[in-house]
Amino acid sequence: MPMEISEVRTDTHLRVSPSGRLDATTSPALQEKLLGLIEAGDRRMVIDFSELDYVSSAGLRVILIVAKRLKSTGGALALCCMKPHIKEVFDIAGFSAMLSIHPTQEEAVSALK
Amino acid sequence: MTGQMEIRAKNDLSEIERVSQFATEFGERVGLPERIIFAMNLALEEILVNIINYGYEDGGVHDIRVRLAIDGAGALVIEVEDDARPFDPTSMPDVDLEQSLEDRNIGGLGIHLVRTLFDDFEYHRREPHGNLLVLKKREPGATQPDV
Repeated sequence: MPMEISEVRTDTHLRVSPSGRLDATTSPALQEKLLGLIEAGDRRMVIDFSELDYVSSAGLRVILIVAKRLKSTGGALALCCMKPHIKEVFDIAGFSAMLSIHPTQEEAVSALK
Repeated sequence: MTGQMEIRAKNDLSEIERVSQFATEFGERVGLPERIIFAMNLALEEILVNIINYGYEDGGVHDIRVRLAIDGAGALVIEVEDDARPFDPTSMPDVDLEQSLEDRNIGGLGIHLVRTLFDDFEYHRREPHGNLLVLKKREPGATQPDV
């Protein structure tokens, strides 16, 4: 089942919205997409989780890789709009303390500044 | 063990979604809350991915058996049995949650999730060949123990 990834680019940041499942079979595509965007010059990114129903550790790994890559290029990443059980996965993994995670898009965008 | 259901999957990542559908149906049938069904699917994915990616050297097709049940005490019991080479994920070191972004390692997250989401996580070596993993969650909130 392919995962759809939509992008909205503003003059301050790029917002990416993957939909469906972020698991072992779909996360490579997201990783490729996001690392490609960073390679092409994007530095301020919001990942919107509102359309995701499922995130496994494969998804967590992609987020971690992207976060590290952005940080090392002087960029910024913010995550938003997670459903409660997905937020819980990030909490359990200790990612909530390490990453910029917000309930809304507006807060995520503000956090990029 | 009441109402045990079993599915056999091939050692291919594309099978994970089918196992997930099976687990979701089982969960709905016994009245498990959604967040427990989600935990079950997360754990199954972690375990199956490890078996599929690291369990075999022969490049062949193998069966992995997944059994789901609510036991007499109302606990959710998940068993995953394979004929792969020895691998004990319960012996993997735990993740250091205090590390910063730069220092965080990518490995080990999946097993950490499984350990946190389940009460028991046991490994048994199967003779002559294979592994059995048993996960238990006590009081998962099942409303219908008899399937």
